[in-house]
Amino acid sequence: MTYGHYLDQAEVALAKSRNTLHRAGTAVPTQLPAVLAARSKTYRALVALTHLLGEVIVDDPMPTDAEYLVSSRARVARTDPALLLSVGLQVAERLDSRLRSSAPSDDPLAEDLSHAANALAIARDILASHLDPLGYGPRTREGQAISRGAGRREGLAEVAHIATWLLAIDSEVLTMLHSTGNSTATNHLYLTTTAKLAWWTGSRYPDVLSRLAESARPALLLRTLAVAPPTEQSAIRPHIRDLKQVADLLQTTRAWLVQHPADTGVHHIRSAARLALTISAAGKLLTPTPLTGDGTARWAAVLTSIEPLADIGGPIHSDISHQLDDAASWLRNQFARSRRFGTPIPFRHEQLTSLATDLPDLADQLRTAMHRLASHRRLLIRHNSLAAEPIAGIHRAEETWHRLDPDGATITSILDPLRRASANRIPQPANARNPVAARATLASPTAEAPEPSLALQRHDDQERLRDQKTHIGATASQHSLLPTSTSWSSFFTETARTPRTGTRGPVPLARRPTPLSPDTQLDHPDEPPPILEPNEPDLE
Amino acid sequence: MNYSDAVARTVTQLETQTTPNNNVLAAAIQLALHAAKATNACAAGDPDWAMFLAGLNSASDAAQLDDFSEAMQIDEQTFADTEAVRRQTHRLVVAVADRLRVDSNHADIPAEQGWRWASAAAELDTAAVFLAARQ
Repeated sequence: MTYGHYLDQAEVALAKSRNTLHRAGTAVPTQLPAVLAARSKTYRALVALTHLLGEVIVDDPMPTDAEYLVSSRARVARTDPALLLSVGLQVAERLDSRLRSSAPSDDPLAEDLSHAANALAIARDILASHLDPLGYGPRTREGQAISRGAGRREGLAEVAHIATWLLAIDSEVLTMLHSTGNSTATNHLYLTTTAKLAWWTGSRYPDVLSRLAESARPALLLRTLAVAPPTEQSAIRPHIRDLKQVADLLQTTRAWLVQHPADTGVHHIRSAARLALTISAAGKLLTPTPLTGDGTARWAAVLTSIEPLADIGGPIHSDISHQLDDAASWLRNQFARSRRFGTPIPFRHEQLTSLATDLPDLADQLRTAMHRLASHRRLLIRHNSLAAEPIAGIHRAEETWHRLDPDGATITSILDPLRRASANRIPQPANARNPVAARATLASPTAEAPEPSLALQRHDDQERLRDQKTHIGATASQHSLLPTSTSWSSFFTETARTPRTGTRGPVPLARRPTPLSPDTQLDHPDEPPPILEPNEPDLE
Repeated sequence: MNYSDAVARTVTQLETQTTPNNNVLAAAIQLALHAAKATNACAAGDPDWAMFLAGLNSASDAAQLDDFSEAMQIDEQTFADTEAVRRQTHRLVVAVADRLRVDSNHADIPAEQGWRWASAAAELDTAAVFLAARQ
C-alpha cells in the first residue's frame, strides 16, 4: 500500500465522521471526551506529516503565535506554508487537558476519527522510511529528492486539505456544544473546549487552510510512494544539516581528489565548483562588502567554462558529486528561506569565511584533476551547430561531442578560470579555525599526485607567458574563455560579444560593467588576471 | 530576437504544452543558463546571480533532459538592462519549475524520471528566489 492510499483512507474516515456528527444532531454524546481525544490524535498525526515534509519544527506554539502568522494576507504570503500548518495544527490540537482520554471507545465517531489518525500515522511511517529523520538522513533516492524539496508543496497542500475536513468536524462539534438543549453542567464541563473550538473555527485559519489546499495539484508522485526497502547502511548518503558538515565534506572531498586522481571525473569537478561558487556567493550575501577576497566572479567563470565538458569515463563514483550537490543545495536553501520567509541563517559570516579559505586550494586541486583528464585524452567537449537559415529567429540545433585536444587552445580557456580561482587567496581571520592540520594531512598525497604531462607543463608555461604579456598591455580580448566557434552562447547571439565568447574589439558601452571597487574589477572575467604564483599571498 | 521576446515565446510554449516535452524544457533551461552567464559577467560577481547560476546549473543536471533541437538567436544588447533581465529570467524559471512539477506527476513519465524532475523543480524554485524582486 502506498502513501496516497493511506491519505485516501484518512479522508474517507473523516468524511464518515462528519456525516455521523451531522446525523447525530445537537445532542452531546456521552463519549465526547473520547471523540475529542481521537480528534486531537488526528491533528497530531497531521503535525507529524507536516514536520516530515516541511522540515520546520516549532515546539509548543501559543494561540497568539498562530494569530500573528495569519493576521494579514501579506504575512500569510510571506510565511512558509510548513510553518503556518505546524503552528496552526499544534494549537488546534490542544483543547482541554482535563478531558484528554486515551481509553478505547466503542463510539463510532471516535472509532472513525481513530481510524483516520492511524491511517495518517502509517502514511507518516512510509515517508519516514525514506527520510529516516531521526537517523542518518534520507535512505533512498526518493527520500533524497523529498529532502531537497521535491513534492513538498503538493504534500503540504494535501495535509492542508485533510485539515479542512478536521475543521469541518470541529464546526459540527461546536454547533453541538452551543446547542441550547445542553445542561448547565455540560456547558460548564466543556467551557474551555467550546472557547478554543470557537477561536479555531472562527479564526482566519479555515480560509488559510483552504488556500493552501488549493495552492498545488495532487502530489501523484508522492502518493505512489511505498515503504522503502531495507538499505545497507553503507549505501546511505550523509544528510547535510549544518555548516560543519559542509566543511567536513569539503575536506573529505579534497582528500579524495588527492587519493583518487584516476577516478576523478568532470562531474566531480563541476559539483565541487558549484559548491565553491555557492560558498563564495553566500559569504558575499552575508556581508555585502566583504573585507576578505571575493571569488564569486572567478568561480562563476569556472562553472561557465566547464559547462560544455564531459569525460569518457562517465559518472563513476557519482555519490561524491551528489554529496557536494546536496551541500550546495542545503546552503542555497538557507539563504532562499531567509530571503523568502525571514528564517534566520543558522551560521555566522566568520564560519563561512573560514570555509572559503580552503577554496583556492580546492581550485588548485581541480585544476590538477582537469590537467590529468586532458592529458589522458578523457575530455569531451560539446559542439553545437545550427542550420544555416533561421526561421523567424529559430534555428534547428544539433549537438555533437568531440574529444578535446590536450594541446589545443580550448583547454587553456578551461584551465585559466581555475588558475584565477586558485590565486584568490583569502587572509585567514584571527578567530577562524586553523586549517594547518588538514593541509598537513593532504600535503603528502599531493606530493604523490601525478604530474601533468610534459605537453601540459609546456602549455602552462605558455599560459604564464601570455598572462605576463596581457598584464603589460594587451586587450581583454585575449582572455576569452572559449573560442566563439565552440561556445553554446554563439547560438544565442547575432554578434558574439559576451566576455565568455571572446569579444573581438572593444566591449560595447552598454555592456561595460559599472566601475566598482578595485576588488570587484579584479574579479571580472574580462580583467587581466593578477600575476601571482599559485602559492603567493593574495594582493587583494 | 530580444531576450524578452524569447522568454515570452518559451513561457507560452511551456504553459500551453499538454504532454511532457523534453525539447521545450531543455531549450528553456539553456535560455535561462545563457541569461545567467551573460548577466553574471556584467554584474561582476553579483551574489544573487551567482547563487542563481549555481542553482540553475544544479537543476539542469538533476533534470537530465535530452538534447534540445531548437535554438533562438538573441540580441546580446538586450542583456544590458540587468534588472529587466532579472525579471524576465525569474518569470522563465518559475514557468520551467511549474512545468517540471506538473510533468513529474504525469502518468507517462517513469517514477525515477519523475523524482528527478521534481527535484529539479524544487532547485529551480530555490534559484528563482534569488531573482525575485529585491526587498
